[in-house]
Amino acid sequence: MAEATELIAEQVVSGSSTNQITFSSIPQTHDDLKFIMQYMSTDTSGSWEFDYLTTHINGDTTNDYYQQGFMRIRSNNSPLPKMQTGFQSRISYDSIGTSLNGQTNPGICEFNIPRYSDSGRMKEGTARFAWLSSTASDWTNGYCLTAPIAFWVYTPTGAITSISFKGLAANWKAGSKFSLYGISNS
Amino acid sequence: MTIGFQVLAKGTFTGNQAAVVFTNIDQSYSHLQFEITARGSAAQTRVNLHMNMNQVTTGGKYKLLGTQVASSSSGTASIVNDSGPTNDPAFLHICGNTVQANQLTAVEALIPNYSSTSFTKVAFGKSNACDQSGSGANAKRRYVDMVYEDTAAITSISWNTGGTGYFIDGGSYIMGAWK
Repeated sequence: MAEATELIAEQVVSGSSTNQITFSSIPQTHDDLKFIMQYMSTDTSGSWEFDYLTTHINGDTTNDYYQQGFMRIRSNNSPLPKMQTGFQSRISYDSIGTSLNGQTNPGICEFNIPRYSDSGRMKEGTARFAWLSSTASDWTNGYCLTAPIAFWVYTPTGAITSISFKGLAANWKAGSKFSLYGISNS
Repeated sequence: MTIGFQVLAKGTFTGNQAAVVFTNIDQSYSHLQFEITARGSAAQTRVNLHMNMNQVTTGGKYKLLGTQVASSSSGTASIVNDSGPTNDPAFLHICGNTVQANQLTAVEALIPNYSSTSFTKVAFGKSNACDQSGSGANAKRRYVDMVYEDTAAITSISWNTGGTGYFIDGGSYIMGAWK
């Protein structure tokens, strides 16, 4: 089966005042969506050198509308990989490198949404994400992580027309890049 | 319409190649993706596969984190934690020349924002150096990510066997890019 890919939109952060990246008015003409992203935050005052990539669909922050799970590998192998359960108000992946203590490495994420325009079913997707710190203590403390397999569910059945990404505690750092692609099967 | 994914270079391994090097990589794309099917010439079950960004193998700029499952571990995963940092880590694996005939390993890697000069570079990687005969205790399936701690744009990439033999003729490689 042939597959065609199209760049729908790309956003590259400039300056230091962008808190949220939003892709709105997503065309409903493809079969699937794919995001490829690399990002850092400006945070220098938090408690750790990482933060959470927080994803909302259609601007929806309703509690219990999202569920996620992933096999997360920590750099000290503790705790052992396990699947998260439970509903929450967002998709949340701890993969943002902050600027705390001079930390310089970004996080990366690949985020896939099959059948995003289907208006008759809940939305499920897959992802992969990682953050490998530049700070040695983050490795020994187990803060560095990779999630080679991640899943999420958004329980409302409407078509997805917008997606937003933000860090919980700070703004995006200049140079962070968010790319959205449409995939069509033919 | 802007095409999302495009193939920038592709080929097959011939003439006992120990490396495939992509140079002068077009900087007008956003993300790089590699698809490789390969088999090493060394008389062993598994051969390390190295990826050197900008062909750098000095300065201790690489770290690895991920997981792998060995065929001898009954499905129990182990952690890959090469926080070094090191000069030239074994990022992924391909099968060696003792596994079942005609078997190749599938390898995939993705480097987001490779042309950035703001950030260091991080790559997703996965490989399936299995031994279909079932007897290869060193066969491994690997999901590993690698950080290259340098903010220079990536203009060249070397995939190689780290000095252990060469790629058997008939394997293939693709370097693609996401616009």
